[in-house]
Amino acid sequence: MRVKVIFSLVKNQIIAAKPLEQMFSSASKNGKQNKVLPLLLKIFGLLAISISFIFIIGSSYFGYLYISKSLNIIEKGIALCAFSSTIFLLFISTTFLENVYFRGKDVSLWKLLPISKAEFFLARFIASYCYSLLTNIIVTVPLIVGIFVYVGINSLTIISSFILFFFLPILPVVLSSLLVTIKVYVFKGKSIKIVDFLLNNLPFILCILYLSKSSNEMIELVSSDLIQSQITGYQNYISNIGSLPYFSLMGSMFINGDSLLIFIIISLIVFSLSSLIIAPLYEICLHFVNDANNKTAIRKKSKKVKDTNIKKSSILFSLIKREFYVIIGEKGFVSESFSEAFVPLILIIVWKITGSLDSINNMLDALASNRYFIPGVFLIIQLFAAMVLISSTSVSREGKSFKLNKLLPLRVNTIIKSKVLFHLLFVTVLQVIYLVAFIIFLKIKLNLLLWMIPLFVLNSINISLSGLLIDYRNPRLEWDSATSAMKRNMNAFIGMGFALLVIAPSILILFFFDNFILLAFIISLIILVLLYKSTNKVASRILSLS
Amino acid sequence: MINFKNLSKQYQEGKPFAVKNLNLEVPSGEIFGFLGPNGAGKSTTINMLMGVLSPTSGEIFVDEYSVSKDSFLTKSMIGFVPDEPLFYEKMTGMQHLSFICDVFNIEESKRDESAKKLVKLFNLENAINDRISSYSHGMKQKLGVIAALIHEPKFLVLDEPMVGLDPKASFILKDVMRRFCEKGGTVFFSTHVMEVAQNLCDSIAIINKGEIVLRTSLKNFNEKENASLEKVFLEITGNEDLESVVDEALL
Repeated sequence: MRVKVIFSLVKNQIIAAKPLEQMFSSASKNGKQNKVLPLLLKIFGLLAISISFIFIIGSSYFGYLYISKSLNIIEKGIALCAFSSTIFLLFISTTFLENVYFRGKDVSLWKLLPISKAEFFLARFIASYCYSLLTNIIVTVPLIVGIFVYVGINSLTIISSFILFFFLPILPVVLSSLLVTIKVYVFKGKSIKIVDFLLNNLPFILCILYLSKSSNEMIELVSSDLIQSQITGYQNYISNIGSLPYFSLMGSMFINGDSLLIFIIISLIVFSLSSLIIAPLYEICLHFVNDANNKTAIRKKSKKVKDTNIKKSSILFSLIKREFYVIIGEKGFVSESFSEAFVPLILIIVWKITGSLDSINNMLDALASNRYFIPGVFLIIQLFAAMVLISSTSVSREGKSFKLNKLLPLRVNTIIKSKVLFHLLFVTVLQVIYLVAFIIFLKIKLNLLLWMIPLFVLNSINISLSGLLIDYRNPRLEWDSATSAMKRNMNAFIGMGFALLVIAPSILILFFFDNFILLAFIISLIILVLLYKSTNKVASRILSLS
Repeated sequence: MINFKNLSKQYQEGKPFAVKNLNLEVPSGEIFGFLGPNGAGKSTTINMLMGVLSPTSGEIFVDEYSVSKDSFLTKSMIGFVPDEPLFYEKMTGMQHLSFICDVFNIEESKRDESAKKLVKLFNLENAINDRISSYSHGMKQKLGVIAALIHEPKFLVLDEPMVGLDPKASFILKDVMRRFCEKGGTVFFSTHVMEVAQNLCDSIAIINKGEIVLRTSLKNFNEKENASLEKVFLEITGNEDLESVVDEALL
C-alpha cells in the first residue's frame, strides 16, 4: 500500500471535484470573467443559506441543551444532538457515495492506471470523510456553541469540541460506505430504482421511527396540564435517545476525560475495522458493477420500443416530453426528484405506523377552531411544494444536451412554458396526494381546503419560475452524477430559498388578514408576471448568444 | 448564400483573437470545405454561424437574414451536424426524429416519408427504435445526419461529419451532399481529411490562427497548383518540413 499514491488520489479527487469552486461556478457570459460584485453576491448567498441552516439546527440544539441543562441531564442532551447530526450526515452521504466508489466517470480512468483497488478504495474513503467534514460545519458548530454556553469553556470542552468536530463524521461515512457496498454486493451491481430510493431514505426513516417512539410518549405527557408530567415527558425523550452507547460517550466526554479517551479509541477502531470489512468486498463489487453495466448495455440493444411512426405534436408538448426524457436520462434523477418530494409523505405514514399521528390528531382537534389552523395547513402544503427540485435544477439537468436549445429554432418563452407545465404536472400530482393525506390521516374537511387549489396552482407556477430564474442565471451543466446536478447543486438550495420568498406574501396575507384570499391571489398574480418577465430576460440572455 | 462580414471573436480581453476579421462568401448551390489545423478557429466560426457564440464584431448573414438579429429564422433554414453528437439519450432514434420534426413543424405525411427514406439510406432500420444510449458513435453520427436532413433545410452545416462513419456511410453522406447541392442547397462543412475536401468540394477556405489564408475554388486550385491539397495545406499552415520535425523528435 503506497501512502503517497493514496494521498495523491485524495488530492486529485478533491481538486477534480472542486466542491467549493462548483458552488461558485457560473457560466461565463461573453467570455468575460466574473468580477467582484457577482462573487460577493454568491458569497452573500452562500452565507445566507449556511446561516439559515445553522440557525434552524442551532435553535433546536439550543432548545434540547437548555431543557437537558434544566433537568440536570446535559450529557444526554449533547448525545441527542450528536445523534441528530450523525443521522443528518448519514442521510447526505448515502445519496452520493455509490457514485464516488463505484459509478463515477473517473473510476474507469483509474482502472487503466497501475493503482491497486485497496489504494483506490482507501483514497475514496478518506475523500468521502473530507466531504463530510465540510457538511459537518453546519451541523456540529451550532452544537459546539451550545455546549460552550451550557457547559462552559474549559480545556476539556475545548479539546472535546475539536475531537467531536473531526470524529463525528467517521460513523456516518463508515455506515454509508457499508450500506452502499452491501447494496452493490447483494444486488450484484444492478441499480434498482426502488432500492436506491429506500437506501437514500433508510437512515431518515429509521431515525423518524426511533424518534417517533419516544416523541409519542413525550407529546402525550407534555400535552397534559401537570408540570411534573411535562418534565417527565421531556426527561424520558432526551434520556431514551441520549442513552445510546456511542452517543452517550459523545455526551459524557465533555464532562469526563476518560470518556473522551474511550471515544477516540472506539472511533479509530470503527474506522479501521470497517476499512478491513469493506476493502475486500470492494474489488468484488466493482466487478459486479462492470458486469451489470455490460448486461444492461446488451439488454438495451435487444429491447425495442414499439414506436415506428412519427406522429405530429405541438412544439410545447414535444418540449414537455423532452423534460421527461431528461429526467429518465439519468437513473439518479428519478430517485432525486421523487425522494425529496415524498419525504413528508413518508413522514406522515411513519407517524401513522408508530401511533404519533393519533397524538398529533388530538393536538390538531384542539387547534382546529384556531384562525391560524387553515393558513397553517396551507403553509405546510406550500412548504412541501417549495422543496421540489424539478425547476431549480431543470436547466442544469440537461447537461451537455443544453446546447440543443441553442442550435434548434426554439422560442425562449416556449421553452419556459414547457418547463413550468412539466413542473405543474409533477407538483399537482404531489399536492393532490398531500391534500388526500391531510383529509385521510389528519381528518381535515375537504371544503376547508378546496379554496386553496387555485392559489396552489398560482404559487406552484411562481415556485417553478423562481427555480428557473435561478438555474438559468447560473446553470451547472457539467456534472458527473445525478447528485451533483441536483442535490449537490447550489441552485437547488438557492431556488428553495427563493421559492419560499416568492410564496411568503400570499401566506403572510392569509395569516394576518381574515378573508383576504382575493388579495393573496392578486399579489401572487403580480409576482407571477414579474417573475415571468425576469425569467424570460435571463433565459434569453443565455439561450440566444453567449 | 452564407456571408461572413468582418467577423471577429475574442474570448477574453487581452487574449489573441480566435477568429480575426473573417470575410467569406459561400454561394448557394456549392459544397464549401472549411479547412484548418486544430485550434485554427473552425469550430468557433461554425458556432457563430449556428448562433451558439456571439461575434465580438462583424456579422453573419444566411441569405439576407442576420444570424444575431433573426436567429430563429436562420436556424430554421439550417440543418446542422455537430462534431460531437447531441441527443437526449433515453429517446429512441425515431423519438428524436419526431422531436426534430415537431420543432421544425414538419407535416405528418412528409415526416413519415422522409424518415423512412433516410433511415433506410443510412442503414439504421434495425436500430431506429432502440434507445440512443445503446448506439455506437457512428450510429449516433448517422442519426445526427438524418436529423439534419429530415426537415429539408436550405443549408447544411457539418462539423467534421466523417468522423466515426464507416466507409459505406461516409460514401453515402458524400453522395447526399452532392445531391443536396444539385437541388440548390448549400453545404458548409469542416474537415481534417484533405482527400475528402479535394474530391468533394466546389470551393475551399483554409483558416489558420483565426485568419483566412487561402480561399479558392477547387477547379482553379487543380488547374493552377500542381500539388496535393494536403501539401499546400501543410505549407500554408507552417508545417512544410514535417519529416525533419519527426526525425528530430524520434532521434
